[in-house]
Amino acid sequence: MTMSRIFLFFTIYLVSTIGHAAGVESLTKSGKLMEQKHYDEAWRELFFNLGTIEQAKRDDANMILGTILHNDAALYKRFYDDALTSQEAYLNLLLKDKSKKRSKYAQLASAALAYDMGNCKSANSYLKNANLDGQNMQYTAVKDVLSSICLNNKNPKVAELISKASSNIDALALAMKAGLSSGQSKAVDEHLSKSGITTERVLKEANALGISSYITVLTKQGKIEEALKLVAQAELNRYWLKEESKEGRVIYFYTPSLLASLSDLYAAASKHFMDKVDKTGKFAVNAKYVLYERAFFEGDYTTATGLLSEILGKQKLPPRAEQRAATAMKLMQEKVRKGGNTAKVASELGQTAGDNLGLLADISAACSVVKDNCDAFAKLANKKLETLEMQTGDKKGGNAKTGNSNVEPVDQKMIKTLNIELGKLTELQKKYSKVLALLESARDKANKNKIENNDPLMLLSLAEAYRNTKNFSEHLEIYFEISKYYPAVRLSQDAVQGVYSVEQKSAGDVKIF
Amino acid sequence: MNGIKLAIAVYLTAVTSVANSAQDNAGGVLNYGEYGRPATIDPITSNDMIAMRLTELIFNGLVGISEKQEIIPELAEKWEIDKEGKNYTFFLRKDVKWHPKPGEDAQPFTADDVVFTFKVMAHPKTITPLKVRYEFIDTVEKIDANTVKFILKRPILNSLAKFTFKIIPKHGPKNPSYLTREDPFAQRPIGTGPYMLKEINSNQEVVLEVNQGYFGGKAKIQEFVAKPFADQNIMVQALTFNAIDMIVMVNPRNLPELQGDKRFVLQPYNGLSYAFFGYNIRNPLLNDARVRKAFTVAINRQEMLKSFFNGQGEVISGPFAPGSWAYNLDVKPQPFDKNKAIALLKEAGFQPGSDGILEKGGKKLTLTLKVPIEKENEGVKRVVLAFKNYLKTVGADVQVSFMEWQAWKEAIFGQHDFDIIFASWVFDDSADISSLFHSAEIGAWKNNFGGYSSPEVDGLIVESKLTLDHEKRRTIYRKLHEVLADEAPYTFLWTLTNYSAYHKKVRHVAIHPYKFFPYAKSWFISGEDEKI
Repeated sequence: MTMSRIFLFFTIYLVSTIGHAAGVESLTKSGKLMEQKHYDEAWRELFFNLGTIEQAKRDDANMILGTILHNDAALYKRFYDDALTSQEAYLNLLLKDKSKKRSKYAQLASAALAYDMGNCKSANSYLKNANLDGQNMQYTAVKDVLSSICLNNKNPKVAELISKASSNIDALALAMKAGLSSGQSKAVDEHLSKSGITTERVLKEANALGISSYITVLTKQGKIEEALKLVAQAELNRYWLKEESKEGRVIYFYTPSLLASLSDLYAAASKHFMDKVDKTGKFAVNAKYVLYERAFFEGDYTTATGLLSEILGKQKLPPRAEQRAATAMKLMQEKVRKGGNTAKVASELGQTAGDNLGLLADISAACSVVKDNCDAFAKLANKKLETLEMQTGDKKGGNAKTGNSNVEPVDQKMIKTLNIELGKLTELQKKYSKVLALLESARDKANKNKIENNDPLMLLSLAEAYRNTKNFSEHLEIYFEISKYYPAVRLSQDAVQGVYSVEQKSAGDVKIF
Repeated sequence: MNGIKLAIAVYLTAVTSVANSAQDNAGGVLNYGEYGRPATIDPITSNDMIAMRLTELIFNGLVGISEKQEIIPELAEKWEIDKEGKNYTFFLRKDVKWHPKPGEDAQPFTADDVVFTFKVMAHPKTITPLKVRYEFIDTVEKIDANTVKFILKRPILNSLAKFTFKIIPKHGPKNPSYLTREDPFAQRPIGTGPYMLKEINSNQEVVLEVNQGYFGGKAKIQEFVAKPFADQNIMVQALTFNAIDMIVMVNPRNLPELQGDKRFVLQPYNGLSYAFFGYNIRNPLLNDARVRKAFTVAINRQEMLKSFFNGQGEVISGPFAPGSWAYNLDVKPQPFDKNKAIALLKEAGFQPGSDGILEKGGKKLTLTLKVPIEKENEGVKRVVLAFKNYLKTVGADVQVSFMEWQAWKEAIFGQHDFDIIFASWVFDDSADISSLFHSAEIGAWKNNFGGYSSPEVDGLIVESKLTLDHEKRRTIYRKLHEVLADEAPYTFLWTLTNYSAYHKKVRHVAIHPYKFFPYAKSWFISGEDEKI
């Protein structure tokens, strides 16, 4: 997956030309924050100051806000995908313990995770073993609601779920979310007013599961701005289960669904603000581009190609954006074509690339989004990259191998981009050593974990590759930095710490230096 | 003048290096830069990273760790563990020989060496930080010449990994019962590993040569040479002038320069380290936690990290590195707050004297800060100077003293003659802080140099050792982090970005995040690239 970096630049440029109108400080500040990839902070800055921005600049504000949220949605989607695997690894370790002192809540947490992953069969199996001894109403309520959802094959009656949830806010919110997911919006609306769930109550009483579920409820109901206000006030690094044993052991359980609900909300919010942009105004193309990219990321290729066909070749786009979109268009068209072969198209496109590294990067990025390994293309692109890196001179412009300083200088920035995109594509094949080699080549070593200096999605790919090669500390260091700006990633940090504590095989050595 | 000296030093090293490579065998010589020289090179008395890296090449453990982080056979070809997890029987390889002593034939490795190693580690007169780590072993007995049995006092977590400790030969040390730093073996050790000590030359370079008869197969590189550099900037210049092939840890400030040079590979490895100011609690002025906490909030750590290390690291809140599984994410670093520092010092009973320096009971708050000279690089100098200046603003007078590495260790660990030190700890990934903060570890050449003692911390450490529950151990470590952050036996500073740099001609490089060299046997130097 990639981000609309081209439009990021474009938007920053726009922000810099805004002038000194009312509320402009927020526009400038949020643009700067977006540039630093502090998307959460950026949208909050602008969203809560929309009222201060004069009418003439509202289009600018909606455009910038929509772009920030678009990027944030992509980031949270990646957080979510990674959290699923790290949570699963951690919970599996807890479930391995068959002793009397084993975790009581691991089964329930695993059931919730399986439900999140769309696997009700597994969830049911965990729920059967979830023995909570009725000691905690909150957990019992959640268990009962989850059981009802999964036993009814994700199509339960809302009234039944509400009844199972009793007065527990986490369970109630989960019940509402399940109701909406199974298309019972009318029933949910009716029960919502009766149940007494409000944003205030969720903020006060709910744990992460309740917060997550309620964000989804608001998103699905189209109450985007209310959901954003809730998120801004919520404690996003919060657990949803805390298990304390008599022996003094404390285990925290977190829910990846929070990350999914945030990603979905930001995606919906991005569209919400983009839709407000004047489609005949100066941002018409930009808005369509972001909307296309959002649809592309979400796998809605019909919408994405429809939007692109309104732009490509008809309206002026920056050359890199034009090429990137055209490449994506070709792969999407092939993807939706019956019997289509995206890998073949990618390979053919790659053959035409020559020294156009940007095109190679764009093909890689598009292959990643459509989830095709594009093996033949990847081989070609890797070979090209290797050749170029051999030709690349040292910092003085010389050649590392031959010492020849007359070699044509290679665009280092583009090589870096190609390394990143190829690294992300290689991730699909789970070839983590190769992923590390490619992405480390592109990493800003002097600012190793800083999202301001590195593409955060690239850092997350690196973190996953390090986790999968059992270099847990590298993973944790990346997340330590990311968590400063995105506290909701706590669940991944906690899960990886848990796995690391078991997997580490060291003698207990410490040295001074 | 200094510039000339630097250039000459680099030139001479380069010339020596070129001369060396000309007479090398096909395997080549790998010259690597270290930030000092080791005090001892044996695996028992040494307690610094420089020596540890060397002992990794010279010695073996009963078991080792693979690149996939799995326990693998080393000196033991197999093992059996009883159901209770208390009896460990190791069946030793029969084809292992010790490096030959000068003028002698190589002797075979046997169970006697394993028993000897454990007894030496446990001997009261052996000064070693290993003692606390292996207190869980009750006895070791020789079953036959190639079989040994360890009986544990209790089962422990990750027990097999503990048997990675290095085995020394019974015929090695002069003293047959215990090992001191003065024993010739500590300077001229022999092991079973892929490399043997060839010499320590007049430049204090440690030269290791390949062990032709290594039981695991001959290593590819002919020689490893550890070259000490007091100044990290010179070390980087040496690399760029091809005088050395590798730097074990690049100063963060030099990263941009090396990243731009395509001849080199920058490889991250997470040594789980952090820098700190450590306090001597024996000094009554520093015995009050409020004083130590005041010092912690009196300095702007974030600003120091940003200004002196280009922000290439993370400010920490407690005794673990952020990359560790044990780091308590809920404990946040105390923010810089000069007024809070002043209030805490006042609360602790200090009043300004006539010269502005705080006093209590007639004693001025004047303290010595001792820093090893190997750390006398630009960034460190700025850190200690900033610390001195920050503390001056709250009424404390700090006298900074740079000392040669060995003299510094003698003063800190041997004599406890200091008030404050600036140093760094590096941990393997078990995050074991027991030797740093348990009161039983107070004493000469032990790691609790500051004499910190807390019944609560002692209790938590003991509990963490006794539990067999990983999650309980995590809970305890979270609590330890919280307590130690509050008690502030150290001012915990930051963890820095950790990169090794090496020339691209060195191939197949895999680096262990803590031990660095365990996989060096498979490294090689590309003949083609060597001609560059």
